[in-house]
Amino acid sequence: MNVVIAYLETMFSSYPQTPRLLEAKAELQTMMEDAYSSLIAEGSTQNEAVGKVITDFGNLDEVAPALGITAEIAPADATSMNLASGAAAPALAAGAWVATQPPVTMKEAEGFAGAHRNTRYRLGAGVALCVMSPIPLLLLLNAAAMHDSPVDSGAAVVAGTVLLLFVAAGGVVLLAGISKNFTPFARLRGGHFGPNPSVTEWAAELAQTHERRRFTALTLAVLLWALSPVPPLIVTYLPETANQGSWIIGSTALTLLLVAAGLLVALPATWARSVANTINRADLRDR
Amino acid sequence: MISADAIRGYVDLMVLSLLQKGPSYAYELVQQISAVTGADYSIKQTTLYSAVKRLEASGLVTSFPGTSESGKSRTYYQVTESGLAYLDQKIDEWRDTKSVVDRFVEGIRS
Repeated sequence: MNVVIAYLETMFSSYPQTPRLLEAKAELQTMMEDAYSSLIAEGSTQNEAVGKVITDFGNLDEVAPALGITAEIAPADATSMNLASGAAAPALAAGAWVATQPPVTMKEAEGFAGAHRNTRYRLGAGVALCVMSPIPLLLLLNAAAMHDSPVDSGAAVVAGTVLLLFVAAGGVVLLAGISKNFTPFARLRGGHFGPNPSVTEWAAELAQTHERRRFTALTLAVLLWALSPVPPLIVTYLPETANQGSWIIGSTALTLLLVAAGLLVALPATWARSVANTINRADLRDR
Repeated sequence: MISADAIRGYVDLMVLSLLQKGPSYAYELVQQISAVTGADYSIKQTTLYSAVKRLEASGLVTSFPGTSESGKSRTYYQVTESGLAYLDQKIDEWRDTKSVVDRFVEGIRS
């Protein structure tokens, strides 16, 4: 139902928020909620119900004259971009809302989503590597601290620091590589675009399609993050041993590993939601 | 399936004919229209909403807040005297329109 409400919000975003319009939005929302509930009661799935409700909604331009709102044609550049992408030009309300940014086109949104999709694993790996970068240093310090260790503590610090920088650099390189994929979509990332109801609807459906996978990944990630403090806690509460320092360092490394694993699972699953959030941000800003 | 353009001028007639039977709210009107038209015509929510608001602005229907059987707050619409007169006028207009168009299509298909 959130998708339906988001759709309605988007459809109304191009019009002035007058009391009459807010009243219309509330009544249309009630109609959509009724239709949704009715479809669910008839056995439709949530996705089917959302699709049918949005299909049966109609065109808000039709309501505009009845509410005394004069719809105008969008600015020439925005119109041409929309026509190029096959999307309908949004109607702008006279004297109340003026487009200052060309609306996002379907082609741009699809490219933006493609960049997110193609870089999702690199994003997870890059951030995870940065989080894991202190682990070699911790393990080497641990090895040096052990009784009769052949590893010199000074050498451990130097080697550990080099490895830390090497692993962190690997993560940074991965993240920097990602940003190149988004260069053509700088105006989207910067929020320099106007809303396009067709694109917003498409982005909402994209996010909805991948919602279950995102939910599963986030659940697993939260589980890993919840478990991450457990190793140091176990070490703290167990009877102290001769190698207590080693246990503490080792458990800290395990904590970092669990946090990184959570990030590696969660971040690649959020790309569709990120796309929808970026598109929706323009709708909220330009309202 | 009848296109929205083909039936556009007669949505007001449908709404008024349903409201003649008693006050109703927007989604109930959509359901009632769908029950009558079946697969031949599917009315969009914005089409119905703009129709009732247009009729209200013309004084052909009035609205009042109410509560449906499910307990949900609704805006109910009821037809006015002038709305009933307008409905009669639209029915006459439809019969004339149908009669004229029939003269062109009769005999084309058996």
